[in-house]
Amino acid sequence: MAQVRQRNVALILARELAVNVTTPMWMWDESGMLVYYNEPAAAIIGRPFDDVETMHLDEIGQFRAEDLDGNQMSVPDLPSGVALRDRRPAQQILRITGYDGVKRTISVTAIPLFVRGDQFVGAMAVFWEMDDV
Amino acid sequence: MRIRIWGCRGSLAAPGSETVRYGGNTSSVEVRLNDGSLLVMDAGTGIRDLGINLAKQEPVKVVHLFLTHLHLDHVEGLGFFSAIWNPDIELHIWGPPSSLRSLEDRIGKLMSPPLFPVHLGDVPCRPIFHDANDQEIAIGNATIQVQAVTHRGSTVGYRIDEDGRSFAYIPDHEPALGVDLNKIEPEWVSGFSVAHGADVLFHDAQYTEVEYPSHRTWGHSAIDHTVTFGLMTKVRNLVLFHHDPAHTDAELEAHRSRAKELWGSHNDAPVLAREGMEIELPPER
Repeated sequence: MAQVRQRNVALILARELAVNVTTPMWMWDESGMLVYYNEPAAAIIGRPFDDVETMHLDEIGQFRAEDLDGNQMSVPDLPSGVALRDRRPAQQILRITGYDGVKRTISVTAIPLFVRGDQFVGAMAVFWEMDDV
Repeated sequence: MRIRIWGCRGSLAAPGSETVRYGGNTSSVEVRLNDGSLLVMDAGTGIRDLGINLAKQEPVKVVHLFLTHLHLDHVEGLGFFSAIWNPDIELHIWGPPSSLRSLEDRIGKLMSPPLFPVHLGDVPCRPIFHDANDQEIAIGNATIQVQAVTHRGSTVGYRIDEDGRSFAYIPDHEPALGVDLNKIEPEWVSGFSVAHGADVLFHDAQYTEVEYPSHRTWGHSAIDHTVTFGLMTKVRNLVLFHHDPAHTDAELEAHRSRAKELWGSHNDAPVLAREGMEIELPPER
């Protein structure tokens, strides 16, 4: 019996979508590991994906996310955290500090990815930089 | 296990003088496990002849029909499969799930007027329907791995492992959709784990490299994709399957030559699926 690792086809197609669009996107597998973000996202995160390779959801605290009032946000409260842990969509405008040290205001919309049979395979988020609000 | 092809044409049955060598029936493959259990992969028009042949053999009590998806060329033979007209046969039909309608409902739509004269509920055999999702199914000594693959609509590939031998069946598949198969990591390739290391892989090879660009996203592979996929998954024997109905025997043989050229000196060279082809996979010692 083959026990070869292969991503779910929904995750495969989601990544291909991310590769081919210029909307910043990142995506996570069901265990909360970052599996990909595209080049437009890299411009906001401040480092190419190939240099990061992967991280666990808990590590996104390093981006020092805060709400628009300047309050620190915990990982479970961030849209990607909600999509991965609560498995529901979430949207928020927040500020992060990228690897390049630049603080940016971004709008994030994250969705959980379910496939047939209600199997949860991960989450993806689209985000884009906003003029400071 | 023993494998026999009853239909390997894609999209539409294509009988005629130019398709005699490889056959015009759409997808249907018989798999006999070592204990005699009968598995049937897809119910294209080839399943009619399979059923006729069954009648000449020792009667079977249980048939497992595995549908990769519900496109017409993979289900249109079902109403002409002798097993469904035999109340003494226990027919299990496995197919990809839908969020909206059960497999039975979807098959029932095909087998009802005006598409078919008899309602599914009125056929003498009472099929037992099962969703085939990402899972493993045990039948006899065999394990059948099911995995969703890239094709138009809900589609799965199957892999049968028995006594150390393996047969992978992915007749409709476009793993190269949006990606360069030569550059991408295997874990990001649709169908990879179903095919990996299989003794035999039946794989979609519907288009030539010239034809593919105008059929991109239709859910099928070009020959170079099929060969790359076969090499990447390290299959021992690659069988080019799901022949386009427009391709003549002579054209298919040209495609095989191209596949061999791309395959190089690895293992056995790719072969063309043809009706009547039998492959024996004896238990590994």
